[in-house]
Amino acid sequence: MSGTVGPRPESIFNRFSFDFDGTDDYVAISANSNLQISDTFTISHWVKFTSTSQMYVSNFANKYGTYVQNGYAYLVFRNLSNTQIGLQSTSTINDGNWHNITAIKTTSTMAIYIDGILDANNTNGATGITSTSSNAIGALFNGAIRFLGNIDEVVVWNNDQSANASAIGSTIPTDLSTYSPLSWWRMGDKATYSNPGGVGNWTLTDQGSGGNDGTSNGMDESNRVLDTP
Amino acid sequence: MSHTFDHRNFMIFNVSELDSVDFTQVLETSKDTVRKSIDETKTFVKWEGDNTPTSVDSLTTKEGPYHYDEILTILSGSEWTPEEPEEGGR
Repeated sequence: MSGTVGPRPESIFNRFSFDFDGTDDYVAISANSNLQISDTFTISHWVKFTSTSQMYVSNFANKYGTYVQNGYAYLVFRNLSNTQIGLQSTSTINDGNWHNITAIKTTSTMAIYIDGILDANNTNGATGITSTSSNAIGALFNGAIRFLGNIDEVVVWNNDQSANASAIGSTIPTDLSTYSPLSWWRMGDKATYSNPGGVGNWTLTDQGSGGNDGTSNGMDESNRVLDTP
Repeated sequence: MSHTFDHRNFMIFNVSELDSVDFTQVLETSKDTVRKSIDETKTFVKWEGDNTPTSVDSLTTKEGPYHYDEILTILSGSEWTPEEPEEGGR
């Protein structure tokens, strides 16, 4: 086909994000052993926010996840002594623009990539403790410490994706099935609302292999917005 | 942010009245997923538009309704938000 190529053909692929109101919006994901990862994991997501408050972006099995505070991104997990180990980014990202956070923990290292560039790392990685707690996007597993802003394309791998971190986060979201994610929540895309025009909730179908569908709480159709990275 | 939630209204009430709320009328999913104050004595629900849901209007301990900007201010206070950062696991 000849003619002008659109500036962002991928925007067809990624039309929506979820806008979290910061009061009690979050996405709950039932406990599943495949998200109870003790050794190596990678979490990636796009966020857009301005608040300086502590706000959880992702929390898995109540033992590992990502949050932001004072504009910095944090990766946290709990070691076998159930002590929380963390890594803080060196960059702040609460400028109201979209940013990708890709956070990786192995049994020896931790790393945070911001927009595809290595931003912080340490050697505090270790085997983590697991639990049978549920999981959440936009809050802690129990719905606490809620996110105020937009979240898009939340992904978990049970392996180290540092080799792909640049590709994952340096441009607009791409088709991550290339990297075989364990779980991939497209947020506004690949989501269905239970009661169009009325009170209902969203079901977020896991686009990875994990079968970890999410269900919204406190959210309605107005939470899905045409605002993407 | 991309838009605000100015069309949402919020009512705070005592946790003891949670069973009186018809959760098909509000955006929260169930009494098990509502947000509670730090001392767990208060909670809130929200809805779209100006008409207060009947089950919420009937609550005897209700405070509000509050607009979105008002509830954000309330929730940022010490009654609802821990003063020290919370950790991501227990």
